[in-house]
Amino acid sequence: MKTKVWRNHLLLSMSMVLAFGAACSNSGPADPAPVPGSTNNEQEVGEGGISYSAPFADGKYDPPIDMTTVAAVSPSMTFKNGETMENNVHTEWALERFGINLNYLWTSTTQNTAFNTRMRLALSANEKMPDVLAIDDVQLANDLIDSGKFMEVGEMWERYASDAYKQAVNEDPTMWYPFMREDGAYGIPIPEYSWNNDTVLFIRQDWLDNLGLEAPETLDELEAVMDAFVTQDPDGNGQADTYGLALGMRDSLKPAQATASWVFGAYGTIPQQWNLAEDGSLAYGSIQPGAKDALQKLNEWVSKGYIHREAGLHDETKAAELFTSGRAGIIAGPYWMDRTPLKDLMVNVEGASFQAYPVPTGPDGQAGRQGTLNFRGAVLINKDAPHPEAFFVYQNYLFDNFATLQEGSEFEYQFAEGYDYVLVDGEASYDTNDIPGGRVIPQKYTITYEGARIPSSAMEALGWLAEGNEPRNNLERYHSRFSDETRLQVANVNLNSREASMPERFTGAPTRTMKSRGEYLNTQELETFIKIIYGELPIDEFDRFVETWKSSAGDTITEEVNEWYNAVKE
Amino acid sequence: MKKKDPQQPADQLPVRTPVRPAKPKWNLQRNWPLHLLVFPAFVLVLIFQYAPLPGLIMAFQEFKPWLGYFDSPFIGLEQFRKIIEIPQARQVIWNTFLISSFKIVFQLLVPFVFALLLNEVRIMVFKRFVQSFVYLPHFLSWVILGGILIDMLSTDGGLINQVLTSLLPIEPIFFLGDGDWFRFTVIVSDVWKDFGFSTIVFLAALAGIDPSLYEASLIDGANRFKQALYITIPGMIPITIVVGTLSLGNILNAGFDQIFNLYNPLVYQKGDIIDTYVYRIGLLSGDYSFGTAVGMFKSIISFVLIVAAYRMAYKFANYRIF
Repeated sequence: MKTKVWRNHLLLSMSMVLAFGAACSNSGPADPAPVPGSTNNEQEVGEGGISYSAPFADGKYDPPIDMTTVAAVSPSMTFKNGETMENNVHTEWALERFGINLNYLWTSTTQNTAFNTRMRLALSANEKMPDVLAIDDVQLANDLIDSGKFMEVGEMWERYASDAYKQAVNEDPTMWYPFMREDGAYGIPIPEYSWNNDTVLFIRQDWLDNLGLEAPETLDELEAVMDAFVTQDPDGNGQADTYGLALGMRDSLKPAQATASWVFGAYGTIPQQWNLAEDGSLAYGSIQPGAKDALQKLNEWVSKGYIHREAGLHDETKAAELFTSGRAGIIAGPYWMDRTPLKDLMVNVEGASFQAYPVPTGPDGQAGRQGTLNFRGAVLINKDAPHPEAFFVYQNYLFDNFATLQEGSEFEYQFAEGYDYVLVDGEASYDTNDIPGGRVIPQKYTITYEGARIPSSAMEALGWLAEGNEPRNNLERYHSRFSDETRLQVANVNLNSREASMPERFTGAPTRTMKSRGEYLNTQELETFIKIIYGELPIDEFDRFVETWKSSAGDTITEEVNEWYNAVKE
Repeated sequence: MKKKDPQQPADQLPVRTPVRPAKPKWNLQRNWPLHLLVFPAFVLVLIFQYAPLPGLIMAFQEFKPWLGYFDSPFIGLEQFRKIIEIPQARQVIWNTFLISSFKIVFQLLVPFVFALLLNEVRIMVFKRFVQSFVYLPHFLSWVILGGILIDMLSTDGGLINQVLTSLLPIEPIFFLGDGDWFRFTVIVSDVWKDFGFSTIVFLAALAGIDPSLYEASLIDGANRFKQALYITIPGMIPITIVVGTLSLGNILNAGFDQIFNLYNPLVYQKGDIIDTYVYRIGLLSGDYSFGTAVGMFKSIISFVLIVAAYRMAYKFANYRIF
């Protein structure tokens, strides 16, 4: 008797488990939203073809409308006053300001790419997609677009985006490329600050001074400096234990930090990415003749002991440690390295100091460094969104007011008083000790990750300040509060070498042949290159590599990449 | 209390009989607490091991997430052909096989010998200390150990090379940058990390050997060496076979964590294994179908090997594992 009951229980619970699983794959509750663009809701058509899908007056929907979205919660996002992603100062603001009720279908942490996984699951389970969706993974964005659930946004962009918004995105029209299809644009790129990961050189200033050396401007001068760093005991400890240059080549020749790509750049190419060739087509950087010269140079440097013998084993962190422990004199990387990790140098080595310098020029006087893309993903709008224009209402306002911390606007100082700033005697304070409950950054709660950013604005503000000028506007005033002398010096160098920047030009999803053969080619390439640098293979092996690369799918990939480029360029 | 079962007089007998009941019965009534204990594990296995099995269908499809299992086009064995056709496939599979074979052999041999030696130690405190000490590395992750090893094995002031060069007239060895040394390093460091933990299993087997056998052998005049040879070692053979057979299932898992944290382009040729290779492919293209196919490929080979080892253990050692 009992046994039977037990078995029934077991069966019951098993079937419940299965039923639960099945329920997960069904879509959420049915959407009661009105039909988009139905005649009832259509308001008068304003200038520029602007119309609203719900009663709209004075920049506000009245009564409030619902807009569904999802959110990626990054570890850097903090909340206070018991607020949550679903209910906080930002959602209140959106409701108050625009009559937009932000409704989060789900939120997920970005750790271990959980958000992307959740998104992919939603896609495969055919879940209801949100009205508005920000996504910062180009491949995933393209998969989402391919699902056919999102609308062409180019037309709406023309009609609804404000001038400030348009200007920000138009600083770099290539931002649109990853999200283009034959019949238009399917994602609105989210502009990011420019030159964020572009390379500058950090050199031990105290070593230069100790040895009475000038900062290098060309590769040859750099070589002389490295030689002195290795042979002339720059740290004065009587031991030959110093290196010229810290490189981390374990995973790539162009990691953000401790990169070697600028050596290639001096010869006119950046490896492991697609560069713009002279004829206007895209060409793979690693197979250009310049790459051979760069490899030869690096090989020379390794054999002369300028570079640590284990640079091929080091990743970014390990390479940076070599610099911060006071053993290497030069490291290349983004401007933000001045704080993390390079601040450690001054802790580890007494009296040490470094300064930023532009990447050196090569034999024909040109310099090149890896660049940064000016966008961070895109916003997709659901085909069935009842109020697709609501996103523009929201985002226009942020670009008009928040991006520049517009004087006289509610964002004069930053997002919200009591959150990221507080007024003390009429002066804004950003000190976490002044703000009751500590400082949190509500701009991170916005749909597009950081509120609104105009690509050139941040570095240009820093550059202006670096030249000793007084801040002209609120954004510059804001940056002047957050930047010490080192930061300004580094930012200025970064800004002044913008001519040298060579960002990745192929920003689409991996092509067919890339998927099937790409990793094989990458492995071959990295292996061959590192072995040449280490002298385990002769330099002529490079020519053989180029041959193999071309014949075993490289040429096909080049064709595919250019096909894509020609299609999106128009 | 439940009513007494007349067919179960065991608790009424004054002495335990060695005779088992002729037909062991499925008796939920008596054993329900045990079943209750195993139930959560059972549910977990069901959800995480069996429920995903239908997903294997992806290996035969060109899977597109938005089309799902039902509408993604079937492409037969195309994904499996891709595995074989990758130019490096042979090298990568061979690396995997070689590295994991050595690991399996030494992961059996070293704990076996170590357990034997430890068994002969008389001082209990020392024995306990050594036993705990050697299995500590097991609890360190490879992410941490990887960084430590890179420093320890460095040719430039690394501890190991400093000791070696001061003792022997040799140049510093490039442990992690030379293909053959890399394999050696991977195998040795893996055995170093885990042999202490495996030793526990063998020590448990040793504890299970009937002490009366040793007493009898003493009477027959066996010394400690003879005891080890004729009692201890034969007593450990069954567990060795079990552990060996089970580890065969891992013949195509050469240790992703470890290799991923230690390898670099210099040793791709001799150190790249299936998992690291697939990881790099997956990262580039997010190719679910291919990933599934590789996983299935590995499982099938492991399954065949386990079945073969099981049969062989029965045939040659007359020992049933399950």
